[in-house]
Amino acid sequence: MTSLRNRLDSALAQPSRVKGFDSRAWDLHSRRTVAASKLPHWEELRQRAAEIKAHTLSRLDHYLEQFADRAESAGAVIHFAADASAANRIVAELCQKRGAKLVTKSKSMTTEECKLNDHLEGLGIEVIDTDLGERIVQMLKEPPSHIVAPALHRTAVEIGELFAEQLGTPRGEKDPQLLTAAARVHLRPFFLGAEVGVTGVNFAVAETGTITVVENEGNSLLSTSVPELHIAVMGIEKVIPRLADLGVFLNILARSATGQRISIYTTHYTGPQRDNDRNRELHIVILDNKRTELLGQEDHARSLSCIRCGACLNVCPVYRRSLGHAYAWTYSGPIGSVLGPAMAPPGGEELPFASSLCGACTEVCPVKIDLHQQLLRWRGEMISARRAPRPSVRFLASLFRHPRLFRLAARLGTTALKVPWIRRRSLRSWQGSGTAQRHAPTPAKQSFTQWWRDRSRNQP
Amino acid sequence: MSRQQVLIAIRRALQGRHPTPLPEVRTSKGAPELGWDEFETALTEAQGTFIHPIGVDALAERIATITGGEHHCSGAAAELLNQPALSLPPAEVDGLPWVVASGFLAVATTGSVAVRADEVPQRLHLVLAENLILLVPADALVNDLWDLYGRIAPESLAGGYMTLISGPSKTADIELELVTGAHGPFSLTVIAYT
Repeated sequence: MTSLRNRLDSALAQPSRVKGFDSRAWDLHSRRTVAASKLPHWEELRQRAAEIKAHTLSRLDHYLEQFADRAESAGAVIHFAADASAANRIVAELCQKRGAKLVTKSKSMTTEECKLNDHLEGLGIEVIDTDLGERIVQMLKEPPSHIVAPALHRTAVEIGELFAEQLGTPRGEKDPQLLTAAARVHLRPFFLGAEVGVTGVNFAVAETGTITVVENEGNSLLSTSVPELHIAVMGIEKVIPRLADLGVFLNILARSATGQRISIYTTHYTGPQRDNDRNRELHIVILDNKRTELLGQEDHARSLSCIRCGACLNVCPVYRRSLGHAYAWTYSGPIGSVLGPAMAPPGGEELPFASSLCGACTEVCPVKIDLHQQLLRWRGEMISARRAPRPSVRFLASLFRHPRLFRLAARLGTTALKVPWIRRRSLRSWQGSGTAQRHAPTPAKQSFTQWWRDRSRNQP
Repeated sequence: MSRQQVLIAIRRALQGRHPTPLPEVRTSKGAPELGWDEFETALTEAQGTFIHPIGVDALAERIATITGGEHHCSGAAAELLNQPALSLPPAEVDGLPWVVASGFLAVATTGSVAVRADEVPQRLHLVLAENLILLVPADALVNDLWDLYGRIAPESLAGGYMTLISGPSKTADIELELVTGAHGPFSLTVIAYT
C-alpha cells in the first residue's frame, strides 16, 4: 500500500475535486453548527452523552450481557463474533440456511469494516447496498468517502454519467431530483425480491433488548420489512443502558450528522415482530474485532464512545482535503485516526500523524471524545515504540531529548534559513503534502535565547 | 467465539478500573407544556405538513379532500375511519398513491409521530406508498423524547416494532441537495383529531 503522504498528495493533485469535497464537508459542518445552536441545553446534552458512554464502557460486560439476555427473551437470536471473519461467516451461514440469493443492506459501517459484501458475493449471494450514497459507490466499485454521505466525493455530473451508463437515464442529466427518482425505480425490485435484510445498529438498549436503527431514506425499514430474516450487525460499544438514554443520543446524533432535529425514521426492534402470516427472525451479531484491545488501553478507550455522526470529519482541515479515501480504511478523519493504530490494517499507525492538532474535532464531538489529545498520545506511543512513520519525526524526537544537540541544530538551522533557496524548500522537505505554497519566514537576527542572555548581561 | 469469551475479554480489559457514575435520566418535568404549534414548526422544518386538530367525524371528509378519494387505510386507521383495511401483498402496495395509518403518540420538539405494531401491523405500508397520512389523537402530544420514552412500558416493546416518523423520506446524497421521496413516501401529512 502507498504511504499516507502519497495518498494525500494524490488527492491534492486534483484541486477542483478537493475544492468541491471541502465545500460540501464544510456545508455539513455549518448545518451542524446551526442545529446545535438552536438547542439551549446542547452542552448539557453533550456532557450527559459523554457520561452515559463513559459509564457504559466502564461496565460494558454487564450491559452487553443484559442486552443479550433481554433481546433473547424477546425472541432475537444473539451471536458473538471475535473478528470480521467470524461475523461474515455467521451472516453467510444464516443466508445460506435460508437459501438466500439476494440481500438488501442499509448503511452499516460495521459491515463495511468486515467487508461483508465481498464475502457474501464470493459465495454467490448478491448484496445490494440500498442507501443512495452507498449504492452509488457500490456501482462505482469504490469505498465510501464519508461515514454519513458515502458519495460526498462525487459530483452530480459524475453521478449522472454513472446512471446514464448503468441505469439508462438521459445523458447529461444531473438534476439530483431526477437522479434520485431513477435510483428509487432501480432499487425497488431489489427491495421487493430480497430474502434477507442486513442493517447496522445505531444504539442497542440493554434495559429492553432493543436495537435502534436511524435513517432518512426509508431503505432500512424496507430492508427489514420485506424479508422474513433481519440480520443486524453491531460493535460491542453500541450498547447503552436505558431506553430513556435514547432521548440524549437521538437529539445529538442527527444534529451533529446532518443538522436535522431528528432523522426521519427511528425504528426500534425488540425481537422479531410477531406476525401470524410470516415467520420473522431477528439475528443480532455482536462484533469485537479488536474493540476489546482498545477498551483495555485506558488512554484510548474513550474513542469507543463514538456514535458515528461524522461531525469530526466535516470540521477537519486534513480530512476535507483528502477526498475521504486517503485514509485507506473504513473510518476516516479524526475518529478513523484514533481508532486506526489499534484497529486498522497495517498502515494504521500513520493515521495519527494526519492532523494539524487544531482541536476542532474535539470541540464538535457530541460525546466529547478528546480526539486531538488522543492523536497526540498515539503519536507519542508510536515514537516510543519506534513505529513513527517518518524518520524525520523520530529524528526530531531524539533532538528534543538532548538540549545541547537541539541548541546546535537550532543555530545551524537558523544560519541555513538565511539562504533564500533553502528557505523556499525547507517546509516542503519537512512537511511534504500541501506545503508547496509555503515558505519559511526569514529568521530573526538573534534567537530568543541569545536575546535573553544579552538582556540579562546588560541589566544592572 | 462464545458470549463468555467476549465477556471475559471485556472484563480483562477493564481490570483495575472503577466504574464511573451513570447520570440520572433527563426529564422535562416542570417544563412548560408544548403545543401543536411547536409540533407543526418541527414537522414543517422537515418538509412535512400538519393539520391542526379536527373532530374525528370530519376526518374521512378531510382525508378525501387531500387524496381525491384515492387512499387506502392500514390497520387501526381503517377501524377509526370505518373503511376496509389494506391487505394487498407488498408488490401491490408499492406505488399506491396514498396510505392512511395511525400513530399513538406525537413529539412536539422533533415533529415525530410514534407508530407501532398495535396500530400498523404491516409496517411496509408506512414506506411503500407514494404519500403517507398519519392520524394521531389530539391529546397524545408529548413534549420531547424523554416524555415519549417515559410513557412506554419497556415490556410492551417486545415482539413488535416502534418507529418514529418525522417527515417524508428524503436524501441529500447527491451534492447535499435535499430530495424528498428517496425510497419512502414523497410526502407526510399528520392530522390530529379529537
